[in-house]
Amino acid sequence: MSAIALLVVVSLAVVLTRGQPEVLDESTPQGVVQRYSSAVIDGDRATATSYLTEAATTSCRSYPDSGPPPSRVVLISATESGTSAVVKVSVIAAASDGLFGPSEYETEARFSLVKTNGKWLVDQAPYQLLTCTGSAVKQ
Amino acid sequence: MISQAPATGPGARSIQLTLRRMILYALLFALVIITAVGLSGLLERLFSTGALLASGDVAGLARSLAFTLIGGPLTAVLWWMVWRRLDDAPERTAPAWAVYLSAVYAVSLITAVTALLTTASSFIGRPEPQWYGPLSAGLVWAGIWIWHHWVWRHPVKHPPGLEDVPAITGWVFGLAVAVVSAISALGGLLDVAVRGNASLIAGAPWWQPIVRALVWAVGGAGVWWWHWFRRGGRSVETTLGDVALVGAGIFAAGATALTGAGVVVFVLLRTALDRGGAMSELLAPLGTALASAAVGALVWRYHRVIGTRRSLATRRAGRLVTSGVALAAAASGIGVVINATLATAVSPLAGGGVRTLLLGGVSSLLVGGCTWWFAWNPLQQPGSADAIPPGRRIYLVVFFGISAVVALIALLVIGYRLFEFLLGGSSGAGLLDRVRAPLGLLTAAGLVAAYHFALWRRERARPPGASAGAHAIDRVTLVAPYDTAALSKAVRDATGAKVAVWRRAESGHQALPAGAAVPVEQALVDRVLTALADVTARNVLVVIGPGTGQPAPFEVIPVDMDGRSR
Repeated sequence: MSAIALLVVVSLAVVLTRGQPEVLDESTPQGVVQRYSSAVIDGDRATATSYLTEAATTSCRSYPDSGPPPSRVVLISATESGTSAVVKVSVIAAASDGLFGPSEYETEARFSLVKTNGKWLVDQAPYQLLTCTGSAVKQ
Repeated sequence: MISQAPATGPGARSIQLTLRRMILYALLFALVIITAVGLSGLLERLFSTGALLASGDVAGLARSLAFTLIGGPLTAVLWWMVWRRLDDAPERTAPAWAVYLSAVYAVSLITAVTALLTTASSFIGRPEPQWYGPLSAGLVWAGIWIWHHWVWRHPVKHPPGLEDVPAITGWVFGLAVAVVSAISALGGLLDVAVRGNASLIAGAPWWQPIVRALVWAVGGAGVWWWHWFRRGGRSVETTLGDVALVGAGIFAAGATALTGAGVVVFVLLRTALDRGGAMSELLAPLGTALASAAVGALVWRYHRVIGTRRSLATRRAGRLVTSGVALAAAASGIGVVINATLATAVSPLAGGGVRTLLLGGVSSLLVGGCTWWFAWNPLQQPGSADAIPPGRRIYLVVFFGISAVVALIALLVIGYRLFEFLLGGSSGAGLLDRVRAPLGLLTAAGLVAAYHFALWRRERARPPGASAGAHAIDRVTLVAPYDTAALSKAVRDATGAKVAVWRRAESGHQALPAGAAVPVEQALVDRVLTALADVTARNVLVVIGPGTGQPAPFEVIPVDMDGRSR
């Protein structure tokens, strides 16, 4: 029992004193994915769209918004080959409808990036992290 | 060459009879439903004739007419045949008859109550309530329910087996409807009190959904009350009655109360330590959670009190179920706390949410852990083998088994992720993030399995005490010439057995008039209890008398009732 109490106290101390995620270099594919994902989670569509290629912005308009954004995105791997890159991530969505409190659902997803004018841009984003500017509504 | 015996023996005849009854009652069940659907359709058209301007639903009308005009007469003919045959005792005692009656009773009650409550609630806040369909279905199914209720109470033709099923079905269904609707009504009210009227629909008063839920709650409570008090659901002491009491009144209500309490603590912890989003969003689950905790706890408490009047086995089962639900909540909390702690070791690309996850785990652990502590009482475990209740070992084995299976599945997931990592599929951070949930589950399940396995081994190794056999009696039948409430209570308390009292009615001895109370002397109680302490049979007959002399004569007879179902 005392071990469980100690575990709870240590967990609370660690989690409550935890800082912000480490910021990656923007010139790397994972750095771009980080900024894009943060913007989507924060609901900042303008910033998110600035990290998309023209093709990705257009194709995005044909998708509806895919529900609430995930709570957390964790890097699994990043592979570069010339002007294209693939970033695999673990997307964690939180749900508050668990039997005894909140629960999480983890899925693996991948970003495809291309290098345009020396800058990495997201060409294909997983459906959980799609964002649309809403310009399709104005047509 | 093997020759086949002719299928004309008594066994073959019995199989044919059983098969005939099964087909007959299945056909009758189907015909009753077909006729009810047809009649409901016709009645709906009758109700809506004034409201409909034009109707082209020829197919619907044709179906209703076919169902009514073909299904109705066939139902009547088949019912007449069945009713005539029920004069014979073998037909009345056939399981198929009891199953048919229980099934139609349950279906008609659930359909009628649901339809009538839908009708009643559709009038609240709806400018043009569509009541025709639900009312017609409600009236027809209510008629079928009354018909089958009458048969269930028929002095001659009621089925002697499964007599308790209609009452139990009724009170469980009524209780479920009442509890869910009461939580919805009270939750809505508390939500408005906590967050104000958050409705985005203009002109929709906040009280309308609450009153609609209240109508359902009152209807459900009425069904429960009728079956619980008026139809004897409260005093049904059969195995099915005890299972329903423990399953619905203690397990389901306990899980509802614990879940609600867990969410209340979660919201309070988030309000104090994790105010990330808007306050209104944070407090959204609070109203329903408070209502779940309050209503669930009320129902749970009521059935625990009722359970204390049942047999010792039922009381023990109630305590073990309470403990089991609480332990599941606490173990789930431990798993989530470990999961959240491991999440802090990985710096995510984006987002957070670890604090919310941790507080969810802590709240579940707090509520589940406290309840488990009081229900299981780990500091006061049985001292000798005789003090260990029979259900306790089953509980220990079941919990050990379930947690071992959960641990095995978690271990397989961890192994899969680990091999995926070793074969070059992901980074170390990705690996940790993907194994933290199963790792938390594995630790929690491992702790639960280890605790229960250790307890089971320790209790198995304990030597038996002096009072071996004191808990072996399941049922005591007390035959006495006078009321023996004090004696039957003493026997129930001492042995934990169910006690049935039969009054002597032999003509050769002077029996006291019904209701006459003769104080049972303490000496008789002590002598009967001493005699019962030496008995190891599951069923015991205790015969007091004849006569009321001093000391009162009695006889304790162990009875072999093998072959009897209850």
